[in-house]
Amino acid sequence: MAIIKTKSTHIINTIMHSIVVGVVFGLCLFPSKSFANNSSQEQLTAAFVYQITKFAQWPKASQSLPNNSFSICIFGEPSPTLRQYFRALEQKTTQGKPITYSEFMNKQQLKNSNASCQILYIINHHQEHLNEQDIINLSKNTLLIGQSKAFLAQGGMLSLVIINRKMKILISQNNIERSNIKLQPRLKALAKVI
Amino acid sequence: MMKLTRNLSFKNKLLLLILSITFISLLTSAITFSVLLESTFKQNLNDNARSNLSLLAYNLGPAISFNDKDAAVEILNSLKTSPYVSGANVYRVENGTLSAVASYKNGTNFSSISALEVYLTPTFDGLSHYITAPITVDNDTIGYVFQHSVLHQLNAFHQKVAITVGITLSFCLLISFIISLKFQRRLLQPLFNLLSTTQAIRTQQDYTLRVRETSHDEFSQLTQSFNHMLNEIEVHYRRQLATEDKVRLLNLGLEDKIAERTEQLEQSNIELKNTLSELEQYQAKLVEQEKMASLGNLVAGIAHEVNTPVGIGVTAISHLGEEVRALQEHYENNTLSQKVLQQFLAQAIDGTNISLSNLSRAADLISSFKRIAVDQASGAVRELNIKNYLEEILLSLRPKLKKVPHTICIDCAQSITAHCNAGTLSQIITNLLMNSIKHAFKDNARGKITISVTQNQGDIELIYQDNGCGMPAEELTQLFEPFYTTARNKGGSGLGAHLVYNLVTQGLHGHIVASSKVGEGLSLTITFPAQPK
Repeated sequence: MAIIKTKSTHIINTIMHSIVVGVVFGLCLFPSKSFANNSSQEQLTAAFVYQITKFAQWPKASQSLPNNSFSICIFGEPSPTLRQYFRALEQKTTQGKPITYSEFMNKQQLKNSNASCQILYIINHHQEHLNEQDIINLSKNTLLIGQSKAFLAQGGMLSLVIINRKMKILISQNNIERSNIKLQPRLKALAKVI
Repeated sequence: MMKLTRNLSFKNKLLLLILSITFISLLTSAITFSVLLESTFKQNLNDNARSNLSLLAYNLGPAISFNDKDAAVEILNSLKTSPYVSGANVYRVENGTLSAVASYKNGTNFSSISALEVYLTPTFDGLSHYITAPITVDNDTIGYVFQHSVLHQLNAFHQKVAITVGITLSFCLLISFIISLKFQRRLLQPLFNLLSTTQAIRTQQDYTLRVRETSHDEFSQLTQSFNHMLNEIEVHYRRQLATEDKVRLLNLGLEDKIAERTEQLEQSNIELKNTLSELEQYQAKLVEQEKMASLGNLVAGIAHEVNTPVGIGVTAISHLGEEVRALQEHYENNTLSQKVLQQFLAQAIDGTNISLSNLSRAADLISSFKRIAVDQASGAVRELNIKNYLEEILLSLRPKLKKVPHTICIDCAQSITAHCNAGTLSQIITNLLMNSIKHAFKDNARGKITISVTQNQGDIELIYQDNGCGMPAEELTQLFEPFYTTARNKGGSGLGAHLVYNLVTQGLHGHIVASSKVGEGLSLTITFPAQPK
C-alpha cells in the first residue's frame, strides 16, 4: 500500500513537474512581459534569465565546468514556484550546453561551492549578505542579476524590474565593463543602460 | 533597305557601313555593359538589402526573445532612414507557425505575405524587391523579418544608363562620322582615280591613259593590275585598228573584185543569153530542119511512089504512041489491014487502061501526099477522121516503112473524129514512128507498133506502143528534154521527142506521158481535146 502511495505521489510529482517544465519551456521560448500575479512574474524571471544567457559571453575560465554545462545559480531562498521554474531550465540548453541549476543560501556556501556560476540570480533581500567586495569578486566571471535598481548601485550588473506592468532589463554599464563578461550590444539596445 | 542602299554611292555606302558597324558594336557593348551594370546594381541592392536586413534581424533578436513588441516596432522604425523600403514585418516562430510581432509601413504599397521562406532568396519583381531574413539567437531561428522595397533607384539607374548610353553612342557615332569623313577621301582617292580614268577612257577612247598610284595597299595592286590590263587593251586596240584598216583595205579590194566579177558575170550572162538565144534559134532551126526533113522525106516518098505509076503510064503512053505511029505508017502505006487495026485497038485499049489506072493511082497518091504536106505546112485546124488520117499518114510513110520488117497496127474506131491541127498530129505520129524505127528495134528485129485510139468524153486518148528494147527509168525522165539522145553517134539530134512533147502540149493543147521498162518497149499516152476549147 505504501509502495502504491509512493508510486502515485511520484507520478503526480512527475506530472506536475512536466507541467511546470512545459510552462517554463513555453515562457522561455515566448516570454510574455506582462503578467497578472506573482507566479507569472517568477515565470517571466526564469524565462528572462534563460534568454539573457543567449546574449552574453563569458570568459573561457568560467566555462570549465564538469560536463561542460552552463550553470545558473540562485543566491538566497527562492520561492518554491521560482525554484520549480529555474529547475525546469535544466531541461534546456543554452550556447550548446546543458543548463545546471544550483541554490546557495549564504555567502559561505557560495564560497565553498566548487560550482562556478555563469549567472547568479540574487533574491532581493539576500543581496544584503554580500558586501561590495564580494560582489566585485563574483562579478568578474559571473553575471549578477538582481531584482531592483538598487542592486545595480551595489555593484550588480543586471536587474529585472517591473515597470508599467512589464518586466524590463536594467544594465549597469560600469559594472559590466568591470567584469570579464560581454553583453551583446543588441541586448543593451533592448535594455535600459544605467 | 536594299533598294535604298543600292542607289547610294560607294562613298556613302562605306560611310553607312562604318557608322552601322560602329552603331551595332557600340549598341551591343552598351547593352552588354548595361545588363552587367544592372546585374551588378541589383546584386549591390540585394547585398545592401540583405546586409541591412541581417543587421535588423540581429537587432530584433532580443526583442523577439524577450517578446518586446515595442522594441521590435522601434527597431523596425529605423527603416525610415531607407525611403525605398515600403514596409517590413517581423514574425515569431510559435510552435512551428508564424505570428506577426511587429510591422512597419511606409506608404500604401506594402502588403504582407505568407510564404516568407520563398524570399529568403531576394527576389526582384519589376521595381519591387522582396527579401526575408531569419532572426537567430544562439543558433535557433526564432523569427523572420520580411522587407518589401520599391526600388525607384532602379528606374533612375535605367534612365541614367539609357542617357549615358545614348550620349556615348551619339558621341561615338559623331566621332566615327568625323573620322570617316576625314579618312574617306584619303581611303577612296585611289578608287576615284580609277573611276575618273575609266570614265576618261570611255569618253575619249584613249587607251594610253593610266591610273596614278597614290597608295601602297590593295588599291595600288588593283591600279597596277588595271594599268596592266590597259596595256594589253591598248595593244589589242592597236592590233584591232590595224586589222580594221587591213579589213577596210581588203573590203575595198573585195568590192573592186566583186564589181569586176559582177561585170564578168554580167558579161557571161549576156553571153549566156546570147548563147541561149542562139540555142533557141538553133533549136528552132533544128525543129524547122526536122520539119523540112520530114517534108523532104514526104516529098521523097511521094516522088518514089508516084514515080512507078507515072513511069508505067509514060511507058504505056510511049508504047501507045509507037503503035499509033506504026498504024500511021500502015495507013500511009496502005498496008493497014484489019488485023493490024484490031491489034492496034487492043493494044491501045490496054495502054489506055494501064495509063489511066497508073495515073489514077499517082493522082490518088499525090492527093494524099498533098493533104499531109499541106497539113504539115499550114498548121490548119480542121475536122478529121482519126482512123483515116492515121492510115493516110502511114501511107505517106510507106516508102520508109516498107524498108523495115515491122508491123504497124491501128486500133481505132471509124467513128472517132477530132477537130484539131492535123499537121501536128501527122508530125507527132511520123516522129514517133521514125523514133521507134531508129531506136527501138535492133537489126533484123521484127517489131510491132500499135496505135490505139479511144475517145473518152471530150478527150481523145492515143496510146502509141512499141515492143522494142525500151529504156531505163533515168533515161525516161530525160526523154522529152531537148538535145537528149542516146544515139548522137548515129546522127540523132535529141530533138525528136522534145518536138513531140511541144507538138502535143502546144499544138494539140494536150499532154503526154511516157512509160517504159528495159526490154518491154515504150508506151506513150497522148491525151488531147477532141474539140478546141
